[in-house]
Amino acid sequence: MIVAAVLFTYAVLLCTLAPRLLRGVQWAERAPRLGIVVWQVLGASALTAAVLAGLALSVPTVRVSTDLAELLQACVMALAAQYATPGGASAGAVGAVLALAVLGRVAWCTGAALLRIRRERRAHREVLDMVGRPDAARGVIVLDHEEPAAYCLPGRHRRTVITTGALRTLDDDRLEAVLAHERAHQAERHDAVLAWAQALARAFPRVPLFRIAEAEIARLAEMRADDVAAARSGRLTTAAALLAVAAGRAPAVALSAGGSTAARRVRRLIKPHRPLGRLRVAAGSLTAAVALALPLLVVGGPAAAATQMNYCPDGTPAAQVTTMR
Amino acid sequence: MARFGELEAAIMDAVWGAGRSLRVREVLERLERDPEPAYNTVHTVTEILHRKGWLSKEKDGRAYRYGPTKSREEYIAGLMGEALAVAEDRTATLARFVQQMPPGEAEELHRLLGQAVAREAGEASK
Repeated sequence: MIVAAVLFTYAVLLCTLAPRLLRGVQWAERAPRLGIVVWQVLGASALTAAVLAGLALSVPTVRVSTDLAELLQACVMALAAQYATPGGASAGAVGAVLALAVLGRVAWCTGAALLRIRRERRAHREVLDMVGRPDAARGVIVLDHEEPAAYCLPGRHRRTVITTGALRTLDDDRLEAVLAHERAHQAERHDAVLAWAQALARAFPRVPLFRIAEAEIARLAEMRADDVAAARSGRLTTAAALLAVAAGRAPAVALSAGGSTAARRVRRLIKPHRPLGRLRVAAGSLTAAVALALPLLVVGGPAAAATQMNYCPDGTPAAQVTTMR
Repeated sequence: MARFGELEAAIMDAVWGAGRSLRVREVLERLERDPEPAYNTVHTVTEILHRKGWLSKEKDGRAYRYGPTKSREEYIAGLMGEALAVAEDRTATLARFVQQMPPGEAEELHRLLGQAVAREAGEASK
């Protein structure tokens, strides 16, 4: 019971407190790739903890034996011992429901999101291939459209698309920055990262962690691609390219009051770049690894201890059994 | 398979370029492809485009005329609508370079960028 309680508390803390502490922190913008990994790890860790908490409630730890028949018998005995009492049975049922619900919800929502994304991409690509003009020299598809815009259609049949409006607005250096940005998205598979974050946010819409992680990962992925473009074309050239494409369009109706992400990205590129030091990146990566391993250690500790102990000195079947609670 | 898609695009280009509905024979004349595809191939692909909803078909004497159901501009506008949608829903479907920005904000950033460029030029000349 203690293991389940610890894991459950850990998951709840991660889901509520962690996003409040981490949202919009300065270091993430200085090391966007680490920031993305940290948000992903927090989500994975919270999910693992919730599932394991459920399992810890419903499955007692069984002394591991070398003999398979003996092991099976011990398992059956352990389960029978737990479910013989009404309290044990209901705790087990609650745990099983929790674990299955979390796993099922994630699988269902991820599957649905992936299918939807694939369908939308294919429909978009079919029209694109009909009305776009391939520009083999630049490796892009050109669309005859006044408004400057650039985007990429990720996936196996990927396309980078740019409008004639954008080609007119951007000189060669800035165009190179735009293309480097799109190539970075593709090389680092940001579409898959975002699809996963989006699926989790849809699966658990009331959990702050997943909702905020989705927005933060989307923002950090753009900043990461900006950094790659800036390394190639220069920070000010990249900022100018962003500004040219963003400002050439009719302003959107709904924009967040705290300034758009686009503006934040331009400001970040204009200001002198201070990437996070190596030591702090290492410390951040270590923290992420610990967060990922923590739920497994909490479960694995008692389970490993159980394999070492001899619970049945007198050979009674009931004594062969222990539970994690 | 890729060439099949190219032929579809070429046929749509011919129909859009004509500005009126065309017979298969007229489509073939306007294709300007080398080698020239067979009449039957063009006929088949035109029928496929009709079935996919790209071309409308009307009877004209003993033959059929095919015309575009929507203009090229309408399709492009549809694509741009998806690519520039304000809703964050599509972030995973398409990755756009940058969102829109309010004019006031853009002006201020232009000014800041100008200053930064001047500062960098000043440092370089020192």
